[in-house]
Amino acid sequence: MWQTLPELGTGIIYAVLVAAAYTFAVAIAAGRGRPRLLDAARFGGYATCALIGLGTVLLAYAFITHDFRIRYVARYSDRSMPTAYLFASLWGGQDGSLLWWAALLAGYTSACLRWMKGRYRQLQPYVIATLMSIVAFFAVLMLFAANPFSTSMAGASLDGEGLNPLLQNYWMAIHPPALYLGFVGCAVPFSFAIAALVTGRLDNDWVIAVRKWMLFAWLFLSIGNALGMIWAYEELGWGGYWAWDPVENAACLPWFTASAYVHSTMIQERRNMLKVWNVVLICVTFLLTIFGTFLTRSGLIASVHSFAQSNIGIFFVYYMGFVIAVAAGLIAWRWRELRSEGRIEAVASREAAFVLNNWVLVGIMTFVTVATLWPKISEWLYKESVTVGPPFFNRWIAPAGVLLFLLMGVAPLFGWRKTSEASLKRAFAWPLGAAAVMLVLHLALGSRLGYPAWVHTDQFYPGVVGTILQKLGSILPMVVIALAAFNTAVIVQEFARGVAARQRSSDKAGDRESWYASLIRLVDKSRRRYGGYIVHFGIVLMFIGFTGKAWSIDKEATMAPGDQVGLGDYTLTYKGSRMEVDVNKRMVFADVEVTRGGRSLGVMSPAKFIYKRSAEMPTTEVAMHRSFRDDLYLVVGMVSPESKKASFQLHVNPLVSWIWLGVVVLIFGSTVSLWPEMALREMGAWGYVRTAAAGLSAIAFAVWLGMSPSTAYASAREGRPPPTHRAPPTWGDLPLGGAGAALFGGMGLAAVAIRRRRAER
Amino acid sequence: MPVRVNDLLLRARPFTPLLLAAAVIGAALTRGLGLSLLVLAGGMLLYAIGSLWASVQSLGDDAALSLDEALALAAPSAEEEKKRSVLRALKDLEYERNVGKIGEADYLELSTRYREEARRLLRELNDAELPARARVEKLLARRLGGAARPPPRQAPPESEPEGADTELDSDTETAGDTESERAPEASGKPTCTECDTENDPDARFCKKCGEALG
Repeated sequence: MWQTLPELGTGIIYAVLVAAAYTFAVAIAAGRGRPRLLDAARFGGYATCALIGLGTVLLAYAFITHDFRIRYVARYSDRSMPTAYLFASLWGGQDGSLLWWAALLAGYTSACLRWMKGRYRQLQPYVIATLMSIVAFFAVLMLFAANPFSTSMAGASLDGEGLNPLLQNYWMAIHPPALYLGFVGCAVPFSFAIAALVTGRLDNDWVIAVRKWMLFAWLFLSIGNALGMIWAYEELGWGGYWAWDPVENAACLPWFTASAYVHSTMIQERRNMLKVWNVVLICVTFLLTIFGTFLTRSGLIASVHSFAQSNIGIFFVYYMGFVIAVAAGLIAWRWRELRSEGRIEAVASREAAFVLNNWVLVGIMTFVTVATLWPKISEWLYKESVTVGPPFFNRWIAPAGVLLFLLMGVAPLFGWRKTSEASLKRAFAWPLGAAAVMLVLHLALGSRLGYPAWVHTDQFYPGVVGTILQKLGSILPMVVIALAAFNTAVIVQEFARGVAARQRSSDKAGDRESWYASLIRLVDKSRRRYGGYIVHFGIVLMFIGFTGKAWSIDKEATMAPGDQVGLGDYTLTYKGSRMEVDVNKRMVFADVEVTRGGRSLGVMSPAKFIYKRSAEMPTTEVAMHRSFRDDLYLVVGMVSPESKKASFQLHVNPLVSWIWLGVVVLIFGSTVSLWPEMALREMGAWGYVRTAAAGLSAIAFAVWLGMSPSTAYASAREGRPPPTHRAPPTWGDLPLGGAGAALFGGMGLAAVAIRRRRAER
Repeated sequence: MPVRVNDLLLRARPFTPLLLAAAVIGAALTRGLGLSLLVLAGGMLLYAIGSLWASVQSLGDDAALSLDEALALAAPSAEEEKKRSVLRALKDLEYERNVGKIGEADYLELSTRYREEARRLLRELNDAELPARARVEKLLARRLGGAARPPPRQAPPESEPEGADTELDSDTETAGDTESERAPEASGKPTCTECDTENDPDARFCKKCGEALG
């Protein structure tokens, strides 16, 4: 065992702090009249990032080698965990997740440094300084509040405690990294905003610079939140995907403001307006990522996601105060330069629609923030802690969400600056027609299909407000379905108009394009616009999925073997229970035969897993039958070992799969928008970097393939015992690992070679 | 450091990530994941030290900025910013007319307003450059021994300076040279004799090929 590993790890974090401080100082000097120092600052930035990477790799090494002297390793891993979970434990607890945050920030900083290179030389020093200040904050946190390399007073234990069984699934490998990529990504736009304010370079250069960084962060916030939803839906077993838990809310807050920004930035680029608003949005987005991190770790509000309570909260409070003070001070200092001369010329304009969209998004963000903090606010105001739950959120968010959905469809129909009345009539004709047709169809056929247009809802509040909300809640599903048709028609119309315009152009040039060639070229020439429309379509699908909740069927039943229960179209027959045992846990399965309309759909087996290490916390294993129409969702509660009677929670969740499909479409649309449009001069350098990165990724993937032939999996549902920790590969493993490495390494090297040949040509 | 070794190191620098990756894979295949992580850690440590060394060496660098570096420090003037935003507005208007979001009357009104504004800004930018151009001409003349040079040319108001579009999305390419199928053909639109492109009524140069219009 490496004797000095814990001390070295702590020393590396100290080195990170020193390097970040050095780079900060050099960057400030470079910005204040010594531009030659910029190279020194850039190298300092790279060095800081490498040191953070070093610390992360060392912690990973400690996990792989089961160095239980380190408290964090002992707390979150054990000798029986597969390699993939050992890596996932890096972010399984508070201390390691802070280092993981710093590692992702190092990745973003390196990428940003490489991307900036010879550009934005006036902004670069302050971008680097701001990023280094954020790195320094996390280094301070780790050194003084949550050191991932701190050792146990009692010395090394024989074995660790292991990762929480709820976290031992593949979602742990993808959800936190995706969400952190979104959170941390907001630091780059924030750094550019601070740099623009400090230098007074408030022209649109920096706005254009950060556009894709913010969109990238937004994409990963979307993916991270979606993965969290899927994880909650598949693993937690309460039948839903979003519980308005404080940490869930904290994860979606920056998404609202980032969504507002990606729209309002277009107004600044085109009309030189909303400069103050955009700067504020970027600063608030970054602040919300820090706030979200604070909520997760401080224990301020109780949450199923919270890390253990610690004294780390106060560091975040001071840091948030510092960020607010600096950002507000700079905005106030530059207020005159930020004020724009432009104005909104017409209500029927895209600018007006985007401003309204921003107000709704920021309004929803404010509502969710206040409601999440309401226990503390009410305690301060009324000396009594009041918690608000999902029904409260759902009742108020739904109408606001529908308003947003309407604006999403209406805004593209307006032109910039002004839309003439005739154009408005033409633009609205088809979408309104589609919405009307859908409304009529829904009213006529909805009940027959199991999706009635009018849905009964309970009155949540007494009085007029309660009545209004109840009535709204009853008709909202119908409204959303009609708006879905409206939005889809708008998107199709936009594509059709664009293709028609291209075809007219090609006709005039005497070179008629086919419609699909026009479509491809249309999207290629206007990736941001049409990628955005694809994202909108993804959101349409997600809204349809969210609306399915209105028609869900929930039932609880206690059944003896042979008992039958009906649930919507389904008939469920409880066959009996059985138990299986593996090295880690006992598994109690309840077998249920499912038929629908007389047709057998097979046997579903919801289960309870009782882990040996945490027998007091059995986990729920959901059984699901998915379709685009609905999900049949079965959860087993208690099973009597004598009588074999079992208590079940049974759910039919309509249209949930549309949400996940919508996420996929959203990701595709964002990728289209993000696809680079670079000047030829830059293409060579970027092409080399990208190809090298692709090659490295391919090689890293080959290593993973070769080293981990047993991939991580959720549980031993199929009866396969989990692998115990494997000995290092032997020469016998070489053919598989070598073949994988050769294949992907060859692909990577070939890509590099091809790129170099193109650059030479 | 001997020049040859320094040369070799500089040539090898782009390949260091691949070399490190190869070393990591080799260690993983032969001695296990633990050693591969240590090799990776070693590589990162060397990179950190190298970068810090390069940073400290750069501290004392007082060499003059190159032209590219100096240009990258320059900030666009307020007029330049306004000009970009007005040209953007014109492109957007063109696109919206072609996809039918704006009527012909509104298009003409807005387009005329923005074109006047663009002309004014281009003239202002051009006038602001004249003293600098004159100074450059004088310097050149002195350098080249007083050879006669033509006076500085005035840039035509409608022409777009180079690089005007680099930061702009090309999302209005679909506008191209089309006219709205709903709009009646406006009279007085000159057609370029070189490329047959129809231009705006007040154009003096073709917007597609740059040829002077008669």
